[in-house]
Amino acid sequence: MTRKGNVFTEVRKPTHILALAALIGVCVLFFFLGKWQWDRTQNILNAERAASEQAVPVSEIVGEELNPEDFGRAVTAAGRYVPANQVRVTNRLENGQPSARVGEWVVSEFVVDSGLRIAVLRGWVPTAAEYLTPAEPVVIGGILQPSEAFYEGAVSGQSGVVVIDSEELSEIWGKPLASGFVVLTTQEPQGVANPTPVPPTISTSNVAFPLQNFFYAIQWWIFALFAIVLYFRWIVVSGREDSEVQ
Amino acid sequence: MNRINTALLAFRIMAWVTGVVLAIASVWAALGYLFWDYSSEGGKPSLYSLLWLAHGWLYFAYLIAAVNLAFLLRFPIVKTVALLLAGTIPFASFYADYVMHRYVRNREELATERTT
Repeated sequence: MTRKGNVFTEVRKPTHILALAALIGVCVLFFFLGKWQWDRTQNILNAERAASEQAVPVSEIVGEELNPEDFGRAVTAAGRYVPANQVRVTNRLENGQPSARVGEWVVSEFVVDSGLRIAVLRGWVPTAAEYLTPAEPVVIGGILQPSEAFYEGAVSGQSGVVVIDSEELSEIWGKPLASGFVVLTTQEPQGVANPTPVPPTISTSNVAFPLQNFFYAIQWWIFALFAIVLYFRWIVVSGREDSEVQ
Repeated sequence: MNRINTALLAFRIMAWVTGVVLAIASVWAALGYLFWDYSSEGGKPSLYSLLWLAHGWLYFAYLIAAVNLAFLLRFPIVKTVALLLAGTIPFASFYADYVMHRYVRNREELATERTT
């Protein structure tokens, strides 16, 4: 039962010390290669997030269809509201808090200078409260949202609609109306007696995950573990062979 | 001998699967960087990226098959490492498969010569 002893004498041989040095070198190298890919993954994610947080003109990304990747994108638009075309969305809470007051959302048609027509959720008002709609040209900033999909088939009453659905709104205001809507966050000039801003449901847009770099990082680290396993198995096997020879 | 033949078959399968994926991906990469717009971010089709992802994980299976075979044949460490690296060089794994088969066949012939 000298196998264990053999493993230790084996380790002391010059070739094995060389192999051990190579193993450590390989592990360090693979660790940093993995780290490099890991950092790249994070950098790509950060760059994509920064790019998606940068507000883009709404007419650049919105058309007949709304790309799911653009849900939650910050957008800007220069144009004017259409005071005649607005609806109230009934039974909405102020700030979305359960304890908050029940009121209504004000949704107006907005005509962008490019000609695009899109629904803008301007904010919350107490039921039947008065508010003003600026008639002059404004520059607005907001977050892009898809049409609300809940309460499917809900019947809108006389006082207003139940959900913000660009399809339904286009039947009231006339086509073509862009898909989805913008939740207003800024308006320049601000105007007076505006509805209270509503927090957007979806506030960050999806960014593509750099799967390839992420997997490369993991793979480099698994390679390092593999090298360690390989080294130890090799020591045990060559130790056993030596004892067979003796 | 039987275990070696099984290991040899496993290695042959992995050498070819990994080799074919790597060959397609690297020829595609060469064409992409030479003639198309692959050096810019996001200029690559998703199938191309998927091929490289596939090669990454297939190479693990290749590593295991190759190490298994190398240990059964009691390969020295340098030869073993060369065999492992063959899975990362385009077309090298096909040659590795050929060499391993020739090696095992020669070994078998030597063994039968000794017994007869």
